[in-house]
Amino acid sequence: MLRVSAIAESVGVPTSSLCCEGFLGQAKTTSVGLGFPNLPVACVPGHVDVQSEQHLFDNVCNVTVDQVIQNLTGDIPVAVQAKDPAPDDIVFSGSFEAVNRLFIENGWSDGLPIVPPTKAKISEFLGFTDYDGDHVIGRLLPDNRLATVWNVAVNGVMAGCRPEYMPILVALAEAMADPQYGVEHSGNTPGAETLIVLDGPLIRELDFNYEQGALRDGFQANTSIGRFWRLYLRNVAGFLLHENDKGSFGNTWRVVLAENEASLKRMKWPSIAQDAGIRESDSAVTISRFTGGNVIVSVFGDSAEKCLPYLADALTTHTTWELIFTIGFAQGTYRPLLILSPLIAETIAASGLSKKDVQQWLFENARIPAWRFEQYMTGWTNLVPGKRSLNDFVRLGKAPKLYAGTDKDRLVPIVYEPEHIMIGVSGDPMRSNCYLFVHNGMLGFPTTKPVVLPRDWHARRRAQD
Amino acid sequence: MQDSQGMLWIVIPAGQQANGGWIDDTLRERAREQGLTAQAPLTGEFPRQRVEPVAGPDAEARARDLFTRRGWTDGLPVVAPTAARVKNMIRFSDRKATDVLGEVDPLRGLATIEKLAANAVMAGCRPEYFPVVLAAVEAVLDPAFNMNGVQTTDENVAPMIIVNGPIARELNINSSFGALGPGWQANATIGRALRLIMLNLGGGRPGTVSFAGIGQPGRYTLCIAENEEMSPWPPLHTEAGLAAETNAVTITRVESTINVTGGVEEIASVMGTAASAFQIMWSGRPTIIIAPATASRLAQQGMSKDDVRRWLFDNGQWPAVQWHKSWFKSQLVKEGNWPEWVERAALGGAIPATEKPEDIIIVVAGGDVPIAQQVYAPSWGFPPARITREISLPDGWPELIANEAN
Repeated sequence: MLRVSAIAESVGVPTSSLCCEGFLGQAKTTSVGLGFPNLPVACVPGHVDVQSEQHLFDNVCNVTVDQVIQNLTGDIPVAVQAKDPAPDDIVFSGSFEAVNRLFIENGWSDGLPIVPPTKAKISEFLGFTDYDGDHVIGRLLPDNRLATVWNVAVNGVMAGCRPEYMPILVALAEAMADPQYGVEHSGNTPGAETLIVLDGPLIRELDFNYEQGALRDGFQANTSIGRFWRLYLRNVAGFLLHENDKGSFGNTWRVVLAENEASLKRMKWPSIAQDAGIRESDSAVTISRFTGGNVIVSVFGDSAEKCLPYLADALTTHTTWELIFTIGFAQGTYRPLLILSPLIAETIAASGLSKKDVQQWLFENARIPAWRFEQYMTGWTNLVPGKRSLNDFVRLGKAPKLYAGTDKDRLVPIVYEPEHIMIGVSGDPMRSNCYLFVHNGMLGFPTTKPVVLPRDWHARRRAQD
Repeated sequence: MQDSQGMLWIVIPAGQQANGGWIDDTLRERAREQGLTAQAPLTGEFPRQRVEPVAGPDAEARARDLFTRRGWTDGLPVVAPTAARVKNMIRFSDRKATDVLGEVDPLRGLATIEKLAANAVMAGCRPEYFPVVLAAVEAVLDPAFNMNGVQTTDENVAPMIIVNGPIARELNINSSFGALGPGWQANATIGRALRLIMLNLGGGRPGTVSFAGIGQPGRYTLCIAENEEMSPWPPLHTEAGLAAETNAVTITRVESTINVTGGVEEIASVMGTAASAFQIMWSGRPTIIIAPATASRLAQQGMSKDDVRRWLFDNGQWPAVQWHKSWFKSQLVKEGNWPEWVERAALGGAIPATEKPEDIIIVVAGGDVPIAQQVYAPSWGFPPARITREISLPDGWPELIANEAN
């Protein structure tokens, strides 16, 4: 909403953004990064979702309208931007404990101790990239701060990464800065958390866990890079709880999920990165935001035919309000991610199915009645205002013909296209459990970036021994 | 307060705007333009973060010195707002550190609970005073207070904090002998906290942003409790619709506190002079502090507070002939530019000190002395203001107070 106001203001149209009371602080901090530090905001008392029409009407008439008039006609105060210290300024000297207190008191840490980002540590990290420290990767909302190779290194040091993770960290910052991903949505209320999927030779080379316990902390590479992601969102993009990160619950950062390349190779299935056009010889990160998901326990069956129905059921059962990212709120941006254990993947592959075949089968079979889809859009939630049916969306040209029809019981797919159901292979190779991630649509869209190694990568790695 | 390594962790008390900017940048520019940098040479020179570590053998003294040179004081030494002291202050409110009460004009620093607490610590407040400070801040952030005007005007106006309810006794806020000072920690520091907030969050720095011609000692602190025990009338906050047993703060705007030894006759005599000129110009609301002895004599004569107001309204009028002769009227604000009620009254020969009798704010305070002293505090500016806010206490208040006393 503020983003639209910023666009309007940028072409000289006065705006007044309506904002529920609990979000005023967020509005004020968010507007900074939009280049309009004082975007005028009008308060709607309380939250509209729990107000009767009369109550809402009274609130708007008694409070909001006056503020809108003031916003559109009054003076807007002049803004003075603060200066940050220069990137290589030494801002503090002290013991480990004192450094950590400084970082925690000032909101620069996630609450755990950080590794003090000394110049020496930072230069070790910079030694693992061909970029200069001041190379600009992009600009990150909401704080509109520059993502630079230097501040990637700083946050990497803090997170407990090793210097040789630097190429991966840079790729992650590039992905975060890609408009396709939509980092500016990272503070929205569903509080979805990013998952980083890693593919390519670096999985083995840098000792990532890609087998049993793939989603649990315990391996330095997976854990510290996952932590880096959150620290970077905090310290560079500028997402802070109780300010502009309004995740109602949220959850802790996820560790990096590495795929089981050997299993993929045996089945001749492409990795997630290869699906996105990355060469097999390259490593790449794929980021995407997931609201939640579930483990699919004890998939039972010795063939694709026997295993797939349970997986399709997981897709339809756990995908609920997120359907608005398929139709309603956004069009065709829902990208659920199914992680198959090598055991199940290879059982399915042994039936002669390619990854595309599996996606096609799930697309055709993971379907729900139209009434249920519509219930999530306009019944139980008000996420898609206007009370339009799926059929209306087809008629408006905002949904594929597949969704047309007036029979409320007709079965409709949960995604536009078979390949929108993403599939990866990881986890305990000796257990028949799978995992489904439910996706946050356009508000954290899958974005893949290749990891670019420095020219003398191998020499530098050897020099570490 | 220093940690095991001799480090003092202080919360930066300066105003940060909603856009992330710091008001000190503007203050530095204004000071530079006006050649006033000597008074606070380190204005704007501090790390732009929440908490700053200060080291050294006497970190408290160093912090005090830094604060003075950065212009974060009223000229008196301040208590270093350490993270622990600030946190303890916030425990005595029902708010979170990040809650925002509003923006303090004119430079619009955000009044976060933490920044308010830091300034209250600096002022020397005990933590149990914090709910009173917060109620006072809520009152001055009411648009009717016109913080922008109060801070930037060339008049010498200051907010007066009047506390009512049982909390005044609980916190030992003086309402009796010497209530306007000095000597009582609550009166001294609650009013001072509000001033530091206006300086450090609003940027009302004299000469650079605040252009009060001469200022007044009431700009250091101006806080009293009403002497409810000795008042024959209903307490002040009940006039705002609150029950007598609730705790409340009333904010008025005063240009000065003029001592008037005598009775209502003498008050009326002072009211009907140029002392009321600015107030008349803006239809303002003066504060009149009536001594307990005088109040009880008036009550014995059967006069209610409204009767006293009416009497003062009728008898405290500025003769029109004086008005015509005044510099204010003859040189500055000519006929036709005064409120309609003023010019109409002038035709009748005398101008009341207020537009309506209800505009006169009456508070009973002071010691029980036979030759009583009253205070006439003429008001300033637009819009006419008198703002009452209930004081909100956190859950578990009695225990908090009891533990703090130990």
